[in-house]
Amino acid sequence: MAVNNALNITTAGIVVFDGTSAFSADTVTQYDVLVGGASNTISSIGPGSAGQLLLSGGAAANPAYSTPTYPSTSGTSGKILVSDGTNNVYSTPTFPNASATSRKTIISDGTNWIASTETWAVPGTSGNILTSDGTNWTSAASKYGYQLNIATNSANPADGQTYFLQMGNTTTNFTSANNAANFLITQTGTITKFYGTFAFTASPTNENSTLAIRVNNTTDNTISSTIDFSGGSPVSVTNTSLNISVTAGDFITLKWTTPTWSTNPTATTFAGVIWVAI
Amino acid sequence: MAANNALNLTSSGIAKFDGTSAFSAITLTQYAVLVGGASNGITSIAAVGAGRAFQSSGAGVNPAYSTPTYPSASGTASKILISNGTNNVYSANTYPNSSATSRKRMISDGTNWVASTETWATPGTSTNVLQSDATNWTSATSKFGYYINVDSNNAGPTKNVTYFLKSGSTFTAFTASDNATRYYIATSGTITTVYSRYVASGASTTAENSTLFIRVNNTTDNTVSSTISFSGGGTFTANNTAMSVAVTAGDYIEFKFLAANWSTAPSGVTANISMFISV
Repeated sequence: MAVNNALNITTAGIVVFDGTSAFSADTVTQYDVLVGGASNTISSIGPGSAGQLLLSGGAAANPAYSTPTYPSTSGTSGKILVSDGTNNVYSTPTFPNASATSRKTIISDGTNWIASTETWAVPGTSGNILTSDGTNWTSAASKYGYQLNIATNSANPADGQTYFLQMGNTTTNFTSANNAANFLITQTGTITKFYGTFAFTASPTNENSTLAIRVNNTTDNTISSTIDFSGGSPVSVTNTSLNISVTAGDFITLKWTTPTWSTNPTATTFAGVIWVAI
Repeated sequence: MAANNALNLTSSGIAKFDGTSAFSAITLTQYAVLVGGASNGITSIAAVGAGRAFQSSGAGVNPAYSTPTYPSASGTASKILISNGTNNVYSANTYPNSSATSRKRMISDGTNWVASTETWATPGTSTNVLQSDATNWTSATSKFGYYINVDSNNAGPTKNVTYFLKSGSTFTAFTASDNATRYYIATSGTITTVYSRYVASGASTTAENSTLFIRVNNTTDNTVSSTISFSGGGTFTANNTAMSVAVTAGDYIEFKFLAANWSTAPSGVTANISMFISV
């Protein structure tokens, strides 16, 4: 038959003419992708493994199937393509695919990776700690500290006198710095706040007395120099702007300097608290 | 030309020879991908929706287009391929695509997911807190705690006698544990630091050492210092910043002072003692 074939083709295949005189037959492989070969021939690419992608081989090369496979079916929304070391597959968990408020993080919900509801602060000032504001994690100054409490028993203060107040003793018990009236500082920090109250009887006049925190029996730090008893008992003494540095091992004393009253208070007690921020 | 066509083809298409005697014409479909068919045939894989990837179906099966589409254009750098439930698309936001310093975390900048500037410490020791060092979040020892203080008034102790100290009372007021000398623990924690300061009178006081204890629940003594000497009188301190006495809410502690076996005792002593309980 071949000799009667005007094309003189003797093998099976796709007929190709060389443009001059010769015909030939290019065999093709079932299931292979056919691409153009040299001189109008046909090349077969394939068959590859299920899921491999046919990728361009560049300008002067046949396309080829990728080594890894890719998903051929749709994945759950939010799943990403991730390599399993061999193939590219849909991730097991989903990932966020929308903008989130600044400082949110990606967090697991036990199944998927999601944008956190809360934001997470940048560190901020040294010493700040991560603190909840009820909604987000904020960088906030720590509230570390401790308080020193004092309460004195009733006594009648004299004019122009200095008293060193101590827990459990009368208000007028110590008229000079005394070890018993000290607080020892256990943690280095800063005294930032003081709250206290004088209670008394009688109707004293309006001369001002002064309350101070004395450090190491050398340095007085005034809490208030305008303590006026003329309005009646009790009289609050508050200073939330103190800034007194103290070091572990220091000792402090609460020092009360009385004025020369025209009419003195009587039966005077004092209760107060010092806050040392650390 | 057809009449002289030795192929005797009667339909249009690509010519195929069966290798023996017959030629046939294979019809192609415009835009379809051509794959080899049986017996040198050609099969057309019909065009589908744009963006679907052409994939192998494995040996013995024609390749086919994927169901989901894939992007055909370049995406913004650092966007990832993510499924929208139907197709695989570029993510709306970018993700970090380079190594970051260890312990940085992925965080939103309001638009994209980026590596945080700061690092985040591993938890570290139990009860540590995350604390800023102005650059990073570090695991730091919590400074939560509270303070207990006792001040005793001046009195002359007797040698070898044990005293339990109380604020507002004389140094020698209690020689045994007493309700009045108890300081109750409100929050469980650890006594870590004790500072004590004494003023002792008596220039001839000899150098024998006294001992200060923190006594817990009137059963266990924990020594603060056993070298408290009032030699010659004056002001003395005895501190211990390395204590580790666990206390539980509801416990009570007492400040127990065991006077030295003085040859000559001080004539009067005041004590001021403060402790810090870390929680």
